[in-house]
Amino acid sequence: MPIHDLGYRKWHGHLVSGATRWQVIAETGIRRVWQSAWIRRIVFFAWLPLLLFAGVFLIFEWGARGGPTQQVVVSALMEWGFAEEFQNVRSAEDVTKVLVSLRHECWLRLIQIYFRYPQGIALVLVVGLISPRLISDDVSSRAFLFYFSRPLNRFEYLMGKLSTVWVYLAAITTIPALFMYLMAVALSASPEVVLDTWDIPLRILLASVVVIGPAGVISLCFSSLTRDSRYAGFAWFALWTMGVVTWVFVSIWRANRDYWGDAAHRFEEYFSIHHVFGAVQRWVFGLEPFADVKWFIAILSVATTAALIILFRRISAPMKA
Amino acid sequence: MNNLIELHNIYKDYGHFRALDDVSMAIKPGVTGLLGPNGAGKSTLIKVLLGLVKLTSGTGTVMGHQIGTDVKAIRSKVGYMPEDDCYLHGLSGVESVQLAARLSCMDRTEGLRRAHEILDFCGAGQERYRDVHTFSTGMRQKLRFAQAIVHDPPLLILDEPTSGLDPDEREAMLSRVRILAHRHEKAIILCTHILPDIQKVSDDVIIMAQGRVKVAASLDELSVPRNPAQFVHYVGDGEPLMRAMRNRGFVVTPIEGKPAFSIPGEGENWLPQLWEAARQENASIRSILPARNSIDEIFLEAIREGSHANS
Repeated sequence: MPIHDLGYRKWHGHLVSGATRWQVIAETGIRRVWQSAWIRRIVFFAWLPLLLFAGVFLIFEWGARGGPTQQVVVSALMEWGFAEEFQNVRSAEDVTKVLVSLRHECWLRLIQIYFRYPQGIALVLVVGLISPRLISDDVSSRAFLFYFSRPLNRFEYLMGKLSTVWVYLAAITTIPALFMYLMAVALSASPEVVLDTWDIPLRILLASVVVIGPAGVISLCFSSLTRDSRYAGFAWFALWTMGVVTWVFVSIWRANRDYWGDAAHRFEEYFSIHHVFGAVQRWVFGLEPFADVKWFIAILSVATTAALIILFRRISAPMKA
Repeated sequence: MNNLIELHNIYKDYGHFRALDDVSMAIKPGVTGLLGPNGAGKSTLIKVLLGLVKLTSGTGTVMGHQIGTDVKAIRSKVGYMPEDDCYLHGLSGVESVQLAARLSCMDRTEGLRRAHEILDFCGAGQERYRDVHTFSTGMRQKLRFAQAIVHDPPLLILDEPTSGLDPDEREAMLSRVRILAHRHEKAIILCTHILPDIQKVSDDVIIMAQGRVKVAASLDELSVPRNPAQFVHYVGDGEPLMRAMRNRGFVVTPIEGKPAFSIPGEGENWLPQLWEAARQENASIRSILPARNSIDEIFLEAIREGSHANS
């Protein structure tokens, strides 16, 4: 018997609050995921686009202060659909005023593009690498009995697993986007800019929630449906790629036949989860009215609710067998 | 003595299949062996106790908490060692036990300290630092046992704790069970197919078959045979002694595989004659002990009664 082996001893310590059990699951999940070199690489590379966007903000803010980039900024903005705003400008001061007045919308558009494209791709990859194993591994190794023979309910278990996904998604979307906003404020060299753009951090948080929440739930739903995480990963990537492929085909088809015309506005985007997320984010960033995206919100809500229901049922299913 | 578990008329149906059929029982502190053939309803009973499945009907309490409603309170007082492997990928042995401790509301540092303490008790050496999916069967058994007891629960449910273990490890595991039951006054439900394990450590036995409780009594009570008899153990050749006793009109039955035979009755009528026969035949008698039912006999009799009743 080793010298430190004192045999069995009663435990007289103090228990911590039961409200933190889901955090324990999340913490364990986060640590396990971080062991993957691929995840560490993707998280690193997901921050790189920030440098590009930092350059764009620098050029814009420099132009807005009457710097040498002003002409470049004006040309770009006219191309970007702001030609009307520059119709009546007579002097460099007028241009500066217009650029300052466009700052809020330009920042929103830049951040929305950041969310939609580089971070959208990173999100698909990160979720595709993390989520499939989170529940299917527990199904295959019968770990449900380990969890649920302890004072833990399905909600806490699910919160722990979802939090694992959400933390990584926040690390590649929300945090860099907030960092980008702070960087833009710093580059504007005027603290007053915060008064004009105070809503942007809130919109970033909301835009993160509408993407991260459903993405986590839907991907975990796939994970709960199989013992083999490869199938869950395949289903996740197929959902995105098939959606985009369908969008391309339906777009071409509609363009050729002028099918449904205006009656089914952006009908083809309903098939693609990428476009559904994009539409809802545009609404969150104030770039589209609610009326134009209500069906996208409905699709996302229904898909998320259905995935949640399946998740809850699947989590208890192995124990009933 | 207060009952730790009380069940009254429990029914559990899976669709049209009745897994538990009018189960009523009371479990006292000590080690209770839960026996039954495959499909007897043992696992369902455990799941019912832990609140993992909902009852179709019936009521019951575990350590004073209502089954089905006080699920968290019950689970915090119960340590469950499942029969199947249920490990988490990517964690080492000590991390797995620490996780079990933290899910039972220990803080991180205390959970780690306690995990090491329990793994020492379970005889897990440096292997505790290896990834659990590389563990041998014996090490996985130790890990599951450690996870079950890390939070010092007053009630333990051990499902096949010795299956797949070599004789030394099996004896060590039973020794741990005895230590927990007798020195630390834990109530233990031992669910196993290995009947000698029950005989070694159990105080009470519950035998289930076809979803019903067939037998529930103390092992001492069950060990007393319906027809009393004595086992006579001899040294050397016992054949002349047995022949002499038969000639005196007694029913003598040799015990297969042992230098012994049994004679019905308490011994008052035949004991003087046994000494006389031994003297005449120059036979040596080592011991005379009352016959006891083995756990195998108790189990088979209970199962047989169940199947006869059904047929």
